[in-house]
Amino acid sequence: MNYELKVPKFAEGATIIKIKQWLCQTGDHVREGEAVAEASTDKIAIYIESPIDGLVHSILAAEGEEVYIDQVIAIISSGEEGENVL
Amino acid sequence: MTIKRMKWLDLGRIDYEASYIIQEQLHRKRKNGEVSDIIIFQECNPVITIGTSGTEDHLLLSKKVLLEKGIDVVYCNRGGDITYHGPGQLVISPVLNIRNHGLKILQYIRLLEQSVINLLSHYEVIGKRIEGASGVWVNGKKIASVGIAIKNGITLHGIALNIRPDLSHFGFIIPCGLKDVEITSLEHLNTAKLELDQVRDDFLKEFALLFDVCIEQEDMQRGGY
Repeated sequence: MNYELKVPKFAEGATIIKIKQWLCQTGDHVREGEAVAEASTDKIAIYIESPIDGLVHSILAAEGEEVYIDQVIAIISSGEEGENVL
Repeated sequence: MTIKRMKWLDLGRIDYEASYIIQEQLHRKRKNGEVSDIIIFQECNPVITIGTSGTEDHLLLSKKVLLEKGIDVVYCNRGGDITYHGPGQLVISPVLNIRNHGLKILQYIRLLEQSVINLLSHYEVIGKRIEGASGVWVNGKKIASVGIAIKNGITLHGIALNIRPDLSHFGFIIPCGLKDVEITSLEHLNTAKLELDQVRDDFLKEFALLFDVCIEQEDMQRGGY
């Protein structure tokens, strides 16, 4: 099953949000709650966590890219059979 | 209605990096639900910190010269550019689960700034926000700087208020990466001499009102700090 990793809603209101760096690569195993990306605004460093234990299936936003709230920035795969949530 | 409770902890005068280790420990414990929200206060030994948006380009002296002056230079994971911390400045770092408070990150920052603005009114100082800039300003000069990080919905770092630091030390950097920014302090504004403990206690009152929380002191020994 694939899960969408999104820019969190709590960052709403921040002016420009950019992906500063990825803390994982495609194919990496990540754990639920683990910070997988660091985004930044003028005064805030935002660590974006994986919603599940799984594998990083794909990264959809480049370092330095401007992103917006709720934008899907990566796909995490749980490796389980079942309905695809995408 | 349940009253939200949180703690406060004053680390006193401490090296920035040592205090950050404590802050990270508390953040981890908060994430695991082992502790409540907590506000950490500290007065740092002289240090220049470079946040995630900063570079050494905004240092106006070499690191070697700064070290000779007793000022360390440290990279850190807060948002923002470059700033100075030192004796006479109160660094306030809430480790707070903003989701539990129903806050978005910018609302949180605005409340943090407002806590300082309300605090300044205790000393008959009118603090303001400036459109397009963060922090708290008095007569166009910056008196408090904000820089935070958020992990797992829980904040790190916070706001630093100048009570009576050596303002000349800000001249070693381009504060916040903004040219022509002037820095001020409560001492510089000719308020009565204030102790950091008094400012801390006044801040706690204002923070408690704005965030609608009851704040108790953390037991230093029990926490093993």
